[in-house]
Amino acid sequence: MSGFHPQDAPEEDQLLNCMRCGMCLPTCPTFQLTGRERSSPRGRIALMKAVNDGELELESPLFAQEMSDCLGCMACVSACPAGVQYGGLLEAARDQLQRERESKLPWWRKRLESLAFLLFERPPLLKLIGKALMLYQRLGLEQMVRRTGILKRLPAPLGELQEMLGRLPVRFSSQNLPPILAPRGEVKATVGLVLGCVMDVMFAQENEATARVLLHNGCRLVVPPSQGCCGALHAHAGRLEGARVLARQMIDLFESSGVDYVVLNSAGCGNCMKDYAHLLHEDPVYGEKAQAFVGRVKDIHELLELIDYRKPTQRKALSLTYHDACHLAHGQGVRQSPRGLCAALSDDYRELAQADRCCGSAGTYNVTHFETSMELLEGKIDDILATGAQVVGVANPGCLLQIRYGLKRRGSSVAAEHPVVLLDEAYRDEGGVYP
Amino acid sequence: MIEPKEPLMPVASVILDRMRSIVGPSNVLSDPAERLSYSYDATAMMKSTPGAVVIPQSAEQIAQVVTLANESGVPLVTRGSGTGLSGGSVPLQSSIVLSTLRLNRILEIDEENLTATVEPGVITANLHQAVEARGLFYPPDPGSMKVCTLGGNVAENAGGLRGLKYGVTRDYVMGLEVVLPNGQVMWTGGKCPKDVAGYDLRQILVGSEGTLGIFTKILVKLVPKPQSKKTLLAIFPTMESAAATVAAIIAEKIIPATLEFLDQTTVECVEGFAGIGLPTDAGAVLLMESDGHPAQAAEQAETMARLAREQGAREVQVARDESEAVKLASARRMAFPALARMRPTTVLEDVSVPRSRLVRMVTRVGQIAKKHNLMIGTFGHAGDGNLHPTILMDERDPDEVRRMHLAFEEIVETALELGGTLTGEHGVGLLKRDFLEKYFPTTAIDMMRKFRASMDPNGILNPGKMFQPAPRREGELPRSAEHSLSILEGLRS
Repeated sequence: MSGFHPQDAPEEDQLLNCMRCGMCLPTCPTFQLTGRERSSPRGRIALMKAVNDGELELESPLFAQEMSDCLGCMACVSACPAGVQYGGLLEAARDQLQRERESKLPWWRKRLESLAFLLFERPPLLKLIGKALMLYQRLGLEQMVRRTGILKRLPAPLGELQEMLGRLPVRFSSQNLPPILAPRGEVKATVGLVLGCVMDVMFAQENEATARVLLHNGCRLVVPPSQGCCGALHAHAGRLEGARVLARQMIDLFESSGVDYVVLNSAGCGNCMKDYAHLLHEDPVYGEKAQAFVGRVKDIHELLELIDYRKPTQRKALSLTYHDACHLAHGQGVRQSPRGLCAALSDDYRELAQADRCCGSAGTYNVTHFETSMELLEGKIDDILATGAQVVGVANPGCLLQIRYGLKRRGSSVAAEHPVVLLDEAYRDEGGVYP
Repeated sequence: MIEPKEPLMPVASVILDRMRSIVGPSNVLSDPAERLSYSYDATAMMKSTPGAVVIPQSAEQIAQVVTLANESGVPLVTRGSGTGLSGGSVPLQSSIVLSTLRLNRILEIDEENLTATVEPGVITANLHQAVEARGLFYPPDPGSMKVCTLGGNVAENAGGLRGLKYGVTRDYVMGLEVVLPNGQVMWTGGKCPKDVAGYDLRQILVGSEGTLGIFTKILVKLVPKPQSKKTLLAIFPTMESAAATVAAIIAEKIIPATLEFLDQTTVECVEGFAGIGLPTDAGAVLLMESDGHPAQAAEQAETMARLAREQGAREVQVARDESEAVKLASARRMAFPALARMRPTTVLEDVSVPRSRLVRMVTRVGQIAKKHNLMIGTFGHAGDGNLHPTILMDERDPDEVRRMHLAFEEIVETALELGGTLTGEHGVGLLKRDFLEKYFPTTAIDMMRKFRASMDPNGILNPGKMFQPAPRREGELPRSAEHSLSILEGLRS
């Protein structure tokens, strides 16, 4: 008898597909840190299979711990010869644990816990909090709090949160970008732009740069003003039903707009949206819609290559390296196009050692597993500094916050930037009419 | 083949406490979830949960753990990365798993004597990298080299793609420090290429599959790194023409560094998966590599290309640079992944036959597949006659499992009939222990059993592996492999 609930259980076919060959072991950051089999993808799948086969209880504390300790970086997916879709297995296992845990909580605790996720289901709420945070930073309150020394007394991740967050922009990208943007010349493609929830509030600059770069390359942009979250955070935390609600909203949002592509500059969101077909495969109405939808979802680097973007006339006089965001390299298999872009931006591109190794950001992992996250971050910063590059390209909001924080902790002058921001700058530096 | 499923039997807490005092409390794992994650290696359909897991931090600790195990009669199973393909590190009888992963230092690279000394938990590819940085070469390259450990390689006498020209692990082991089953530490071998003093205990330890001792130091031979390499890929209409090419290459007195083949089923799967432009109606594909002095490697490559064309190759591609070489080699590298994706369960075989019988063996595997209505892709080392018939099935289908067992047995028997051996590089372990007596005369089996018993009188190390359970046991005696399976099944229910 399976120890899983029938709904959203890890798929048995996928569990069986694991041949236990172990090719994932050297790529797994947590296995590298602990050396314990259970902290490896092969071990985690074995534990899932044991629960599935009724040999281990879903309530086993070590099972819950392992499912939570996994970064979800999916380096194992890149290494797997049998093509096991580990990401889906992990989300399903987390969903099972979440379900089990919730069933034992009193109603008010359930409410309290889903409150954080409500933020991402209700964009105005998130924006409100974003504004409050921005004011907190700008009105000098942050400095005041810092001076009290209160932060130093909080447990490590909470005290550091403020440092990790960086400075929020005054205006969100959704406030600055109109719903339709037309390029000057011929329209090469109509592109729906996903602003993202966190990206919109914290990375307005990246979103606006994406819009300008696409406009400049002949894309007509559709930017729906009331966009929500893509569901990645829900799925990652094992709240698959919540993720499905958001996925349906996202599909509805772009379905009638007649876009050729739906583009993202956040690796995590892109990975999640490309997975909608799987997420909604049992949905009688949205299953088919999702199939068609995912074909249109592109990461910004992929799309730039697809539309044969114009290379900047002058390369920047700076040395550049590139960090592979897990959900871009392992999740979406996008590795070459961002490197191509980097090479178009700089004469001095330097390949980063272990470029596709997780930086430890991993969604909220740097808050929930502060120490492990920092251990991984230190390794990443060492590798970045070893290249001697002045700028590191990073194409995911979580990694950007994490790596910027890591560089700041070391007092390094190296900058972490989204490659599309660098491209935007390069176009602007050319002078002339832009965008 | 058997699938041991034994009850979860925790080790007595007194013994665990003593283990903890040796290796430290955090290095003894006894939680059921921890133990479950050490119940397998890379062998299909094999699982047996250990009584506990012990992770020593030094050779001294290994010796103490073995001494304790021997005194208290608790069996031990040594485990590196758990990538074995014969069930060698699957712990039977609720044994304690002893992990060597923490002993992972490269202790010395001696450029004057061309040797390296490593601890057993060093990953094979890490040794490759370290010695190649100094222009040296450690040739054994098992498919799992990025994951597997040198300790496991020595225990299983691992092979690889370079076996024909460079030999296997055995040919490179010059010395071993080993913890014997009674806990004593013994050194055997040394840095002298010529050494004929006494019995060569080192060689009986290589390939002993964790039954005679636990290696704590390994001294290996190194060779100079070949200066250059040439890679070619030839596509043939039939397996026969590919085999004729192999024969022609050998007749020309060329020993290629690599000579690998894919059969028709495998070619089809590789193309379906990777889309690298292989014609799916090709009867076979050969990947060939020559290495050495640039002029010699180039000349040999040219000759091999000519011979392939003469034998009727439809197409011969010669790599012009490293990136093209990687592309051509990907056809072979994709073989196993492409096959593995076809069905949920992948049973990997590794019989070996004399090179001249390779075609007959591949043909017979095809017939066996048809007879039992199974999908079997075959690829492997054409140069040394070691092939990997890969049975693709679903372990949830009892009838398919039954047919797989029959096909498996017939493949092994066919190899023996053709003058081959039951395992070329994966080892006997659990997967093929029931066939060992078909390969060796009773005298040899008896001698091996006696040798093992004299080294390990209490049966402490890796019990149940390599040989069928001792016939001295009470109850029914297994008469054949199938019969032993039915006995085991009876025990299970």
